Amino acid sequence: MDEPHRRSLARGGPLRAAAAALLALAAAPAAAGAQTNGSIAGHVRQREGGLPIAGAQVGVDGRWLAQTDTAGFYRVREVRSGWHLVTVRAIGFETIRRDSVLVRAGQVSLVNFTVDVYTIDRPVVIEAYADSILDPTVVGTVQRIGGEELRRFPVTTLDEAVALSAGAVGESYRGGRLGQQAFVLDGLGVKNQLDASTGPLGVRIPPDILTEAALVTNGFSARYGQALSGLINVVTKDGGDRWSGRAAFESDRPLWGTADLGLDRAVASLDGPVGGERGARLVAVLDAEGRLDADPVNAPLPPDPRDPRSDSPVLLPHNSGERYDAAVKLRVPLGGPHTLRLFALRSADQRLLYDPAYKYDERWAPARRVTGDLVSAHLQRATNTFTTDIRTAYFSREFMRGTLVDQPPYRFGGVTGRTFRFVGEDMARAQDTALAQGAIPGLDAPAPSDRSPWGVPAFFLGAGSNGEVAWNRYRELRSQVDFSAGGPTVDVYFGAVVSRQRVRTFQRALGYLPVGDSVPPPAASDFSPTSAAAYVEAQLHGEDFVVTLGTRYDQFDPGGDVPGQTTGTRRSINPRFAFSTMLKGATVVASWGRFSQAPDFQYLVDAAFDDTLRTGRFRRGNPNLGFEDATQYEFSVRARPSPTTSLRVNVFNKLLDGLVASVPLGVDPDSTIFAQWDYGNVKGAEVIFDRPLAGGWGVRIAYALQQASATATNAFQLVRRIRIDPNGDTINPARVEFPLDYDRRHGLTVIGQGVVPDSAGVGPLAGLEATAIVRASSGLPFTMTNAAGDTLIGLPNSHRLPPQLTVDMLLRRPVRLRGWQGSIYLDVRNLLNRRNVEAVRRDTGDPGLGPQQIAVLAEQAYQAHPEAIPYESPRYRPFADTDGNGYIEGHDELYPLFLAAARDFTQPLFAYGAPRMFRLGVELVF
Amino acid sequence: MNSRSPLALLAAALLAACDHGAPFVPRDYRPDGPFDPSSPTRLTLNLGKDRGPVWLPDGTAILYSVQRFDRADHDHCWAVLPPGGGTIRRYACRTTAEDDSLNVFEEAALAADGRLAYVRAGSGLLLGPPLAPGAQALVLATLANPNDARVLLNIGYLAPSGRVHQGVSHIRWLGPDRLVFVGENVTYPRPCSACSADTVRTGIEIATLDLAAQSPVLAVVSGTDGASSVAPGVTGDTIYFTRNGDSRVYRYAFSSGQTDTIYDFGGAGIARDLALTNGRLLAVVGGDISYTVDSVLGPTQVDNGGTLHLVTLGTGSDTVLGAALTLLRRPAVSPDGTRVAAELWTSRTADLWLVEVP
Repeated sequence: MDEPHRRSLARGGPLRAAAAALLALAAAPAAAGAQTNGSIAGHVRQREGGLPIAGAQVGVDGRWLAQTDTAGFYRVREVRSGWHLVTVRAIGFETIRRDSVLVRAGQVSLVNFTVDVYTIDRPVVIEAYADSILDPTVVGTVQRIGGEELRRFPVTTLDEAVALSAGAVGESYRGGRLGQQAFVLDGLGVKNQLDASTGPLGVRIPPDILTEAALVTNGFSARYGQALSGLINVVTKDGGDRWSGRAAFESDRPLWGTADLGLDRAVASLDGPVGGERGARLVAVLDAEGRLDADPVNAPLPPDPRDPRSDSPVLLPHNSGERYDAAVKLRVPLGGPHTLRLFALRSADQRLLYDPAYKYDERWAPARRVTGDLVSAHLQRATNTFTTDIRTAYFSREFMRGTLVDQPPYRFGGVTGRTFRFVGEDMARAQDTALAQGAIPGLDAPAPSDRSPWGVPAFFLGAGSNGEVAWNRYRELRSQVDFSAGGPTVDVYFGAVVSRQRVRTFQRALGYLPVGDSVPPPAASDFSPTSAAAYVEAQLHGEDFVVTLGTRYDQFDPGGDVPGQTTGTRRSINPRFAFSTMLKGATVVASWGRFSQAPDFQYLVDAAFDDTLRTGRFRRGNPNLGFEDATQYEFSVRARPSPTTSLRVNVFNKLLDGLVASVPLGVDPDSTIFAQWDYGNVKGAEVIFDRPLAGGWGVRIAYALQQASATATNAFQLVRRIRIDPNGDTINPARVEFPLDYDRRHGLTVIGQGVVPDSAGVGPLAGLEATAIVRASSGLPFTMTNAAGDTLIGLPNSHRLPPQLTVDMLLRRPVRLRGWQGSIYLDVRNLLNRRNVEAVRRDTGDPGLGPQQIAVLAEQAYQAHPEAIPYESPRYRPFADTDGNGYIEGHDELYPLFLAAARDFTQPLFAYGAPRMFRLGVELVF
Repeated sequence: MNSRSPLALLAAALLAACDHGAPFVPRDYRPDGPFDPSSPTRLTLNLGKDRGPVWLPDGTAILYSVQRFDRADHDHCWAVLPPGGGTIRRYACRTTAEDDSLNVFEEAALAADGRLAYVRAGSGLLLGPPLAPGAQALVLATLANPNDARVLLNIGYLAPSGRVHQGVSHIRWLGPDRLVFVGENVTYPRPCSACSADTVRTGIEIATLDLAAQSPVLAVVSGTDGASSVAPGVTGDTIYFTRNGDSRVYRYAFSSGQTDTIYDFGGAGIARDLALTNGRLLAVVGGDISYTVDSVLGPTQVDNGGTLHLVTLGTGSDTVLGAALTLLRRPAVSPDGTRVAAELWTSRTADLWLVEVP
């Protein structure tokens, strides 16, 4: 594009100018996809005549990194996400500084300088902006949220923030199941490869250490793998040049009634220089939270006033949780282009798990502990033409679930401050399957509880736990090297990663009994997989287009310790391609990519469960599982309807293949094995309108329409569902298509923000910030069965939950006094206190059972225990002894108790979402 | 707002957070006190057998063996009952949940330090209700954890006297490390060919078990042939006992090896189930009891309960307690000597009653 043409575009208005600049700067690319770095580019011109200044030096944060070309353009690559100082100097010109240039990962920030020749005292015009909307080098579908937004939004965790993205259903993205996403922290992949589909990552990034987080759902760089549905890319802060910090405490306990759910959260962060101005930079964050009920529900009141939940309908006992996240990061400049970053993160999450069967004997209900550690080192050598990143990280995650040795007392709210201790924990860690053949000391068989208001021996349990001991540990040592070379028309990225993992699992079900006919043997595994990958990617910059080409090679080998595995190393090659250009002021991107991820390692080995509902008591692993694959086609259009708004439309079609699914093993209904015979398809469209906060208000609207379906070959033995056609012939269906679990057809998220200017308001309204998030979505699918639970009604996932609606809000009032800055805030979740149905019973399609089914349950329970209850028995209830003879006896006296117990036990709780929840917060910034 | 610093707000929030809502907790839905407080007081209404009451050393509760009909296996467990009646505070069973065996805890002897010696028996239920226990042992545990037990003596056993004890009863602590009990012969006669078998336990002799040694040392008390019950004296040197078919109460001194008769209920009937308290003697006398010497089974005493007699040893006065209750067995005197808990047998089952001591 010639210079006059550029100028003519610039005269067309700011939008067209921006478009022209971006198109021109297609030759100034950033790396595609998810990463930690972006670029700064722009031009340096004279005011008179707009002549370019060639040979001007451009520096970032005090380091001179680039020179302008003869057209006055410059580009600084591999600039870390965050705020930076950009400086331009040239002979005959005074040095010009532009402070607070925001660089975002994977995109170009434009910083243009306009100066007068030899006239240094005249005004200097600098324009700087980052535009990921029109930037054609950004080929991925990136929905980002900055650290400041995290603070302004009514969200607490990174997961909650990412869930605001279009196409997200909790931690499921674009119809993918849990675990099909990857987590990238400062350019380094972190994934719980053991049980990502059923368990948490194990480490949580405290929001206070974030610069930004983004969800990338397509076209992510070949640098990243191990994901089918998306990448969560997180960039953490580097410490600042002066000491600063934040302390915050939020709680709902000053409130009363059902608003007091026993929540406390404390956050402290600190960052600053260590060892002088040119020394290291430190960031440290501690984020701790305790909740008396970590999973509160908005369930209806119990039907009987004798039910103790009538007194406290929201808080569930034995359902508390506490989590602790501590992160420290040190950036050490090593001189010249070398920088060393050291990062350490420890997370601990402990939960008491409410179990309706143990409603009146909570001491025996299960508990869970997940801990995670991440330590990484990152050595970077960055120049403007070649950048080398060497990273190594150790990641460890440990999971334990079972029966507590004793119930730790609460010290403050829901905080015990003690590490949970589990019965059989030492045996599990030692993976002592010989010892586990016998009954596990400390575990007793559960017996019908006598502590319920109904007394009768039915439904509720006590005296012992369910006897589960489940433990696993996943450890990984990962080394990664990335290279980036920049040229005038092409940037090349290449690198490799090798990770050595160790997986250890132990499971014992019904541990209060010795292994026998009805008790499955303990399952244990210990193996050391090795995963490796290599990639190369190039971004070519034409006159008015950008082409991104890349391919990634992945392999994993479970190792020889996995019994029965014969496949050896599994390999996968994943090419990716994207083409982007600008048409009529809009950026158009077409992309195609193939993605693969190794299956959860838990599916390679045997497991023992006490869950006959779905997985059976013994689940055989399949050591020969290979990669799960996805191929995605996407077409995106991004435009700016006005200078302050943006509109993105994405249309995608993703083909899934080799999905791991549980299928029956032989004719034993309680045994299953994993296979990869199923495939699927997710297609949809996303519309994202954004008006960032400016002029006192902002709004973001994200709508997603999608359809996610699976094609099963034999899951649920569906091919045996023979049908008779109208001619009387028998049809054996070869395959059956049904919705995937996260097939949410419609999802709408509206985020509105507003700020009352200091000058416009008086008193408590001055400076008030408000954010409201409205989420409305259609229901997820579910499967219905007959009353016995052994026959499907219709196809799997052929029924739908009702739609959901939530409104969250955060009000923040800045406070400045005597040198202190801070704020007070009120965070309200589910402001309308809407009772959202999140799950239903498979046998009824409703949250609970109907009166007739409850009556049947009660009658069955009575027939099992028709014996009279004498006066001295703990089961005796005076109100039920209608004839006052000291015995509750006969159907007339006993059955009403069984009926009430059945109603109590079957009342739906976790079928409902959270109630209205408040948080009052105080924040100090220093 | 302007008059308060953020620090003050933070402090206020922290202070306010000291109190908080709480999840629901189950209430106590059980009645307090006995079903009918009139005297004598019926403590239990169980349709199964409630047997062998003993008082906790501090008198705060009664420990007894309860047959649980709310479990399909009908195990006999330990139950702890308030001293004046009411709701069972605690059960202790061999297994927390019902299983395919019948487990029986019985014959408790509770020491002042909380140690609990008792008989533990078990039988499989796969072939139906067992006639006799498949395995039986005298074990030592604690009241806090009866299942953490050490086996002292497997039953039956060959006693030093050369006789086989197929059962033991009336286990009492004779000292800190010494138990005394009655070794029994157990038979299962059927009154008729179609009738269900009855369990008849007839005392053979008195034995002691010394726990001080590394392995318990079993001994037989000479001169106690045909003993039907035993109660320790104030010191560990003396025991009181009764004999089958005999109305007299005997005293034996270990130091001298002498046995003497201290009381004779005479025409009131056969004496058994002795207990001593504060210089007074408690015994079950007469009632529905028979003693025969069968040509096959040998000496056999069938005891379905009798009347409770309280004898002041110094004066020899004999008082009938709870006169309306004529089929009592196994009385246990409270530590303060004011109340007696005993089994009352009716229709082949037993409940506990409480009788005031004048």
